[in-house]
Amino acid sequence: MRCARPFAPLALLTLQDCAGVQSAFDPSGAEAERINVLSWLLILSSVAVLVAVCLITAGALFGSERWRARISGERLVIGGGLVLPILVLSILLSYGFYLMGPGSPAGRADGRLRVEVVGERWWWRVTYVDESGRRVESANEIRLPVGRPVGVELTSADVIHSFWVPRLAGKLDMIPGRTNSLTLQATKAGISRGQCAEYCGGAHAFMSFYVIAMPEDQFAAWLEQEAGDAQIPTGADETAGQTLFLSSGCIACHSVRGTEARGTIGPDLTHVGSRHSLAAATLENDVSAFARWIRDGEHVKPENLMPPYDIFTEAELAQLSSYLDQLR
Amino acid sequence: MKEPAPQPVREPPVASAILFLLTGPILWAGHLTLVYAFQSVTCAIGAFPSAATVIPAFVALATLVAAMVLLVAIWAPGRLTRYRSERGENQTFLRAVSRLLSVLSLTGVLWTGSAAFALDACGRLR
Ligand code: HEC
Ligand SMILES: [Cu+2]
Repeated sequence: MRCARPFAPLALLTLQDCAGVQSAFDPSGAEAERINVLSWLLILSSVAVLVAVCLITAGALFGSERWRARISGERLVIGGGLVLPILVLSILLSYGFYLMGPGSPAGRADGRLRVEVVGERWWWRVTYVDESGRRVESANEIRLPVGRPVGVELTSADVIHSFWVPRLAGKLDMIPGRTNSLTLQATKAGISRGQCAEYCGGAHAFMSFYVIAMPEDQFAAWLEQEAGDAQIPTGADETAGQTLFLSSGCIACHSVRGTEARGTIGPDLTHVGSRHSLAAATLENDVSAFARWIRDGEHVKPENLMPPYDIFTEAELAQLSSYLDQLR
Repeated sequence: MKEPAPQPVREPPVASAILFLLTGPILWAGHLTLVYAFQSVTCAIGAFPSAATVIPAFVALATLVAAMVLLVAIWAPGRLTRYRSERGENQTFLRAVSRLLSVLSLTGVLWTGSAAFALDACGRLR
């Protein structure tokens, strides 16, 4: 753990674990790295100023005659109140201009890949648009090629949400009728967690997602796979599960490409079995989680907008779950 | 028998002291509000096709005017807002503080203005 060892007891209270998948103190993206440096700079210089002020106050209260004469001089006011702030803030301002200006190192997306993310109550609609303009629908998870600056376009379908992956970049609001753009550049392979950062109603706290950064070649292979149609079920249970899926109303809201399921109200399920989590990072992704979600969704994620299904028998639920699980 | 209380030194109202002290920061706030509002509104409604020249020009003008007024406040505190304390040492102190704040405000105004030249007029936040 690189951060704050000397403040360990304090860190326990406030930071919990600096190395977590959702920690801004453990950056794995270009912008988050800059934010991290800036944060530490800010924290350390604030501490320095605080210590200096405390020392001066102590000097004024308990210091010798000579010290007190020194402190009360105009020099300190001009130096500490005028020269120092002007100097420090000028440097910070120039740095800010440099970051926001045309020559900015804040990687502009190279345009080869674009990811559109729409905030929905309470999940994320994700669409990859590649160089040729091909659109690949997905949901609740974002995959990125390591090293490449990827343009992410954010908007909302209903209320204001906010897109925040602390390990990758700062947060940006998702506003209905407006598109905000963000550039994500993962610097190393691995998994990070994101969270909606603007209260958006009932299940806001359960509106999360994972970002998986993978090497360029693996990413290309993955995107090909993701663009393809759903796997055709082979086993008896899975096939029965598909029949249930297609006949129980699920397709009014969900799409599974390659089948007649073309609903667009809920998340695309074409490759739902290959995702790292279910229901916007509310559940781990395995067969039993599918069953829990379908039967008990209202308890797993209160107020979510998928209607609860208690019409299935245990056997049917198991079939349906194994069908969804093999959609990889 | 109570003795009559000694006549206190009559000072002008506190509000005018505050106005006198904060001449600089008030001008700074005014400049920032004006420039910020003009830039945001112009960009939001797309009023001018040539926003890229209109905005820096407006900001430059506003900055120039504000800087000149602030220079007056620094050279001659009391020209813009009048304040007279009966106690001599008070007057000296207030003038010094007012000046100091005006110098800081001038810096702030110039910094604000410089953004118009360093950044895109309607650059989108990334
Ligand atoms: C009225 C529309 C609607 C119907 C009908 C519906 N769902 Fe959903 N479903 C949703 C919504 C909305 C979500 C997102 C919930 C959330 O995470 O907040 C969702 C989420 C899911 C998820 C999790 C997806 C992910 O990305 O993690 C699965 C799996 C799922 N539904 C399966 C089903 C099955 C199986 C059926 C039929 C038995 C069904 N749904 C019927 C709207 C619907
Ligand atoms: Cu939210």
